Amino acid sequence: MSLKRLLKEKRLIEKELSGYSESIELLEPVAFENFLKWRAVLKGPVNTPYHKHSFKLLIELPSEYPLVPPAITFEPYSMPHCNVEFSTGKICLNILEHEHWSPVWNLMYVMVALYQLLQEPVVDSPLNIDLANILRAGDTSAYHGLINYYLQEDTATH
Amino acid sequence: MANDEDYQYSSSDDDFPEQQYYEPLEHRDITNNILDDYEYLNYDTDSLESFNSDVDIVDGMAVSHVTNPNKKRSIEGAMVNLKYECFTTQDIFNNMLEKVDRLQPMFSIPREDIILLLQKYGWDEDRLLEDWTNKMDGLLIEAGIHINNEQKELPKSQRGISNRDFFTCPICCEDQIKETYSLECGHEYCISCYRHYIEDRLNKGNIITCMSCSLALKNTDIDELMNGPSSEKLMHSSIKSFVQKHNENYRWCPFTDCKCIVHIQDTTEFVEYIRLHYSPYVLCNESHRFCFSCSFEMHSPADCEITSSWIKKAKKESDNLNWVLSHTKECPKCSVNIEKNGGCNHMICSSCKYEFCWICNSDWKPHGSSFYQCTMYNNDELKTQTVIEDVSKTLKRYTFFYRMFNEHEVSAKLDWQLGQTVGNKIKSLQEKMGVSWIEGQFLTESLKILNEGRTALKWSFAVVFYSDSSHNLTKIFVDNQALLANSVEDLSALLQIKSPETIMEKKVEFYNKAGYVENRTYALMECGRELISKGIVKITN
Repeated sequence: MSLKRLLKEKRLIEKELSGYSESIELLEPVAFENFLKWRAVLKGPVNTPYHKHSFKLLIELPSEYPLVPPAITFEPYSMPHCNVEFSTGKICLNILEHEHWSPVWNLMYVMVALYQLLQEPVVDSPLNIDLANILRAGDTSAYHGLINYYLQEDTATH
Repeated sequence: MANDEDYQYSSSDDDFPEQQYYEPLEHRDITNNILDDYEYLNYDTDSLESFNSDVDIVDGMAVSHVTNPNKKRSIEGAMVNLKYECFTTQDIFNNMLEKVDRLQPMFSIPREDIILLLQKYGWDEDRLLEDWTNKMDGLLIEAGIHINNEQKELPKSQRGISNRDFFTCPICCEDQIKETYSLECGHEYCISCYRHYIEDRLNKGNIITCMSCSLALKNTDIDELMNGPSSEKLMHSSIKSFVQKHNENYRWCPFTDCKCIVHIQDTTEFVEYIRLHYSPYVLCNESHRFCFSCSFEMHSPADCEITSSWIKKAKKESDNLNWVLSHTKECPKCSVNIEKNGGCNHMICSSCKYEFCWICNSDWKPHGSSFYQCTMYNNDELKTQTVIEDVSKTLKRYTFFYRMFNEHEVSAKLDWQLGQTVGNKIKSLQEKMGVSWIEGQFLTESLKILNEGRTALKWSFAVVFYSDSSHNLTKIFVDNQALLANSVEDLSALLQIKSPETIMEKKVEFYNKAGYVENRTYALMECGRELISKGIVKITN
């Protein structure tokens, strides 16, 4: 683990975050003395059922970072999405797999990729099979309705 | 119940007449014919068509009664003749390199580039050639061999290590880096980050590319960067994934630390073998025999299905049973704790000299002279028990068979240790008795036969466990089992002899006993196959 790399990433994020105000609400280490745990909040993209909602992410950096990818999950029971397991918040995204990860990428890059995933769910590799099936069948209103139901439930209980 | 007679036959174990032990069954004759066909195939190996037509005849039951009672049956006879080759990863790699040499004149690009292309195509020459003729340049870009000309805005650089004064690596963010590496694309990183990155990917078997783009690192680049022959490791893992991908035709030898890979070109015949309940056993170059179909050790007379459910059951139940099966036992007479240190079940207590059977814990005397019965599970004992005890009965039944299975497994291990000493025995024969090495080989041969007999015996308990115990054929099978058990113990005892003089004196006895075990093993295997073919074995969990 290179502390220099993390410091540099942090500086970069502080500098550039304002430019991403449409998509990334927050990206920071959980505590200043520990750079291995980060938290982030993504904004729901316009023209998706996620619009006007925001989503918390938990980021853990393994000690071999950046040689191995960061471990990122949504907060459990908060994200109804084709490629996210609802009960655990696990994300299926190939760049987060060790094999496809490149050390050149950084946390900012990953956040942008996740934001894109919110805009364009991949029905072919689903973790939430119900949502993927509905979307694949082209039943947009049911798709939106189900996500809205989940999200309202979420706001009601939290 | 016309089997009293057969029972008599099977008990007379003097000189093993071939067909006695289940004469009245028509299927037996057919089996023999099939075996003859297989043996015939061995001489005329490329006649797959004739094989098929033979089977058709068998299916039509239009087989005339042709058996040759004088033909020597051996364990090999209970197996099908498979055409297979045994490799190591190095052999396969050399084959791949030959492929590269063959392709090189056609492609007229460097060998390293062809290796990359083959890697991309999972070493599938035909698919590569097809795509190559269709889109040469596109393929070279896709495989990361040539740089994509559309992305020309990047500053081009030399492929290789460069020395810099003040370079800040974008990955570790260290400044004052002295040594860096980049490909023609100009994506430059410090050599230590690059090494970590490559090290991490060497065992994945995929093409390693630049960290920022799809330009590939050739084997020569990897070796230059890593300062050693690291690309070899990559090639080996690439071959590993090749083997994994083609697992229809390739199998790793399941034995610990064995590096052999067995390759069978044509597996279409397997359906037929499985229908006849033969298991496709292969022998790797290290002389490990295993089943190509389930990657388990040789498990006859059980078939793959019985084997896998037995193993599953054993795993499930082992927690309950392990405490039952300790490696020591008390002497039934003086209660001294005895550890079994040899393969033979004939125990002599070291303190009171009481002779007993390790399996049934009773006096050895009746075992030696008369029929060896400890392999039989006595159902009568349980007849009086009530329905409530049924569950414990099933468990008890399983416990019994598992114990038997386990005993023979332990014995087999001890026999194997015995094998280590056999080499020394042969040596001392050579030194003290002036026996030639080749003459001493009867010991090695006997040990091999003993091992195969034990393995068959071990798996036969799985078969009996799943068999309908009221069926006559099961009874015959159990009789055969007892005969084999008896002969195995005899041979095992013979192999315990330490003095070279006695060994040489008993040479003929070695030959006889080993031959007998071999015949018995074969008989048990065939009987088991018959049992399974007749549907008497039901797998329940």
